[in-house]
Amino acid sequence: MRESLSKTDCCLCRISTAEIIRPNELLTLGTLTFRAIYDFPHSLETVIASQPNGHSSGNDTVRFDDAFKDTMVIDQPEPVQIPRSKPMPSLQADLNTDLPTKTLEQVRKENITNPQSIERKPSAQADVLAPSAFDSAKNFQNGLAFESELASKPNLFDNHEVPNQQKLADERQWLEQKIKIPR
Amino acid sequence: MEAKLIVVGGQLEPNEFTLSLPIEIGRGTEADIVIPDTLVSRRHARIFEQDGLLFVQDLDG
Repeated sequence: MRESLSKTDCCLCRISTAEIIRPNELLTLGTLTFRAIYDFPHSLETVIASQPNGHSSGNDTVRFDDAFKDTMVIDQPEPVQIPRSKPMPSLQADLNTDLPTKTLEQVRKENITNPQSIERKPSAQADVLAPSAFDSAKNFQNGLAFESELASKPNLFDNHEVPNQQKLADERQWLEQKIKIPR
Repeated sequence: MEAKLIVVGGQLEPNEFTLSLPIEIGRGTEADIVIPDTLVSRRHARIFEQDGLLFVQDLDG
């Protein structure tokens, strides 16, 4: 309740004109305190906005003074400010990355460093890229060494001979010793 | 308009008043709500309704 009505001594002396009693507002008269109960069907702010200012001058027009405006409680929650944060660098890098330009080696390196990113597919290609085949960078390096060793190995088809089954089996065994070929 | 004043501090019987607006509050017996308090004048205040709102107006306090 406004101070002028909360005084216990002749509380209305400071008020020469009318003031609003808002719904559920307390009104102190002498040693008694009342609560005003009534339904107000309209928005209080709308009514105040429609009635410019000041107290009643005794006629039908009721005005409001600045002192009363200070007692008004208008519930207007402040808008929530959502900070605009920059995208995380890694995400930004992903957005800027042109995936088709990645080489197979780049994809393999990424899969080695982050095996969980590999999408499991029933295809043979997925199995080759699975963590079981390339579960560490060491295996990858071993693979590079194997490729150079393979390049130095005499080719079975150098003599344009049709390889027999024994040679093919030997070659396959040799390969299996070097790497695990998915079956 | 249906309005009430409920006593929430102090002693007064009855402690709830249904207002037939406008009303006068004071120490005098002619008031609609009589407050037996020397701090309250005989015709202390008037409560009336306008535009759906209650207003309190000082009389001669």
